[in-house]
Amino acid sequence: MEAIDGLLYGLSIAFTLNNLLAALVGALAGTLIGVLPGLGPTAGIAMILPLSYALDPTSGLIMMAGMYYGAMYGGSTTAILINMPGESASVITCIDGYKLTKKGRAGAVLTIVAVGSFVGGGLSVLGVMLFAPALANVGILFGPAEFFALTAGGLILFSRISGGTLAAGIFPMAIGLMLSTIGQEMVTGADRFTFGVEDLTLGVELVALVVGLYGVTEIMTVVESLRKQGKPTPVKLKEMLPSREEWRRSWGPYGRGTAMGFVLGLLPGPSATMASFASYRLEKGVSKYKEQLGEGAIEGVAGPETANNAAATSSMVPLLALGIPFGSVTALMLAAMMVHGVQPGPMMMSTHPEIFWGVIASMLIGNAMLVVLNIPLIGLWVSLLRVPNHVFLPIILMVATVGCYSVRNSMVDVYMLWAVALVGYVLRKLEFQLAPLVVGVVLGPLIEKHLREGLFMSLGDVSVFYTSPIAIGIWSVVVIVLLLEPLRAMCAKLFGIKVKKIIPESSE
Amino acid sequence: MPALSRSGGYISAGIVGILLSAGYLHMTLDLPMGEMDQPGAGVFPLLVTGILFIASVSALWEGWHHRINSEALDLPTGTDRTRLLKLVGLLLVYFLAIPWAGFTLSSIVFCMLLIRLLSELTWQRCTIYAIAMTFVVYLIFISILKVPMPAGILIELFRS
Repeated sequence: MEAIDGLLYGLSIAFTLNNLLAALVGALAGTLIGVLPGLGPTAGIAMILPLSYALDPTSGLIMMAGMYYGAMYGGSTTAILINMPGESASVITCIDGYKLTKKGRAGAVLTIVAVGSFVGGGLSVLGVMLFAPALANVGILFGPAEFFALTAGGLILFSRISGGTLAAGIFPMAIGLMLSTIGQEMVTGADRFTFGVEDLTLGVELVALVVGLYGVTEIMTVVESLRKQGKPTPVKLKEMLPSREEWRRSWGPYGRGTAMGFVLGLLPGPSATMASFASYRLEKGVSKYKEQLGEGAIEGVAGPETANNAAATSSMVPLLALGIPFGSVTALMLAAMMVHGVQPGPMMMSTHPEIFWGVIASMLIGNAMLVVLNIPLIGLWVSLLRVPNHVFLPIILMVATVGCYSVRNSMVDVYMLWAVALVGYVLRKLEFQLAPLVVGVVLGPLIEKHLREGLFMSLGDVSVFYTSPIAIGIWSVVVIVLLLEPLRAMCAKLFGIKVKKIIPESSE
Repeated sequence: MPALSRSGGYISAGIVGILLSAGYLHMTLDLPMGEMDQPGAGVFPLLVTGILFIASVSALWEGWHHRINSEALDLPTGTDRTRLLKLVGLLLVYFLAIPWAGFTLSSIVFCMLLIRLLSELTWQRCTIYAIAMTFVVYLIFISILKVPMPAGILIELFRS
């Protein structure tokens, strides 16, 4: 199916009542999640995951995608209004966004962000539409050895690029891989590491793991430093109109942010966060008003917010075209597809075109919904920021409990929520990255599958994993990325050459 | 009490990881390994053992390497720590109480205590808020979405 035909087909799928409702609910719930502190997109989507099982796969995925880009938009609202990012991709927005709010431009900035999110998300959809089928066509050439390199190498890359030191990424990744081996093994059906607990036969439940790691841990952080909540200034609808000058200065950052976000979304790593930071750096380098950045310049908000939405959208490409999630949110979407018996990957475009094109087309509609709904609803989102901690935290914890229990009606999952939250809290305090753990749990079974298939098909010849040109290419990139930091340190020590750190300090 | 440093945390994580990989290896060796062309259930866990061991050693090495100038961990102290520990304890008791007292009753008590912990509201207000919040969650998830949350062994016994 050609890209244009595919998009038209996708629009016919996305424009059904169920899918429109799924996109609407997803976009609104995502914005809510982004606005509320203590609940990021990953934990929020994990809590909705059981609900998506009740929907058909297309509607479920449309809703989850809607939540992802909705959260990107919602996270910026708190960053702009009360200098508190709703999620990590909006951290950079605080710098100029809050300064503009103090100058009385909050409403206009929120409109610039809403339009930027639409532009970034919308144009990125067009890129996804063209790029995903091409990548899927390349993916058809992949065998078990190439998929093993892509999943295992991708996971190592993701863990390294997630931020911090080498151990900060690979230690949680190893824990995630270990957790992925718990439960019934898929080829022979043998139980592994279940300790006789029947509820563990189906493996570690992803919802409990993610809600514990991201949701409850975040709530623990909010509770430990409970301070007086910042009250946002009310924003009136008439203040939402940006000036002609603000519009004029935003188009450049919109374009640059879209391109930067789209490219970074295709790569392993915390793409939305990386995209917003990279876009800010780009604006500091090329903008005509670079000296104003940091003091309340519209470019410092328009660029990063466009970039993070573009990245959130293009991160669907590796998931839909190759079946590889390069982030914790897309890992959850992969898990949801597998529950429905849908195997994402190069064949998905022909086996499940309704999901492939339906999800892509829905992102266009969902992003439009975000603009149409969020500008008039800004008063509602602002008023939500006034809800005190002692009201929303107990509700979130109750919903988290119900969400974990409901997946397989098991109290073991609820107990696991508690244990995982404690482990997650300790890991966060030690500045370990949590996303590699989640992605490790999701990719573990796929890596094992490709490893065993490769050995089986090559009659036990291990060289199959490092002789194909594609596998060699992927492993070379992994080795280069792993060697970047030691090489940088060596250059500084031996030759006194100082190169800026390439791996970010932290992305969470 | 001396402040815990980040390097100390990394060293502890490394030691825990090495012990974990040893225990994991012990259990892995009980799994069938199969042949090279027919790999068994133990092959991938064996690979994971190696990865976990390397990751643990790297955490240990990083902790040891940076032990001189390591910064202190940002851990809560005083009332902040007490509040956090109370939350952790409350959550544990809440989860353990659900199968016995049922979701509804446990949630009301949990919410009441948590609201009291997080605010300066009176007990009466805490109770009213807790009942209202639990009612909303009950209405959405149990009445409308039909999630079969445990009714509670004690409640069942009382009914019978």
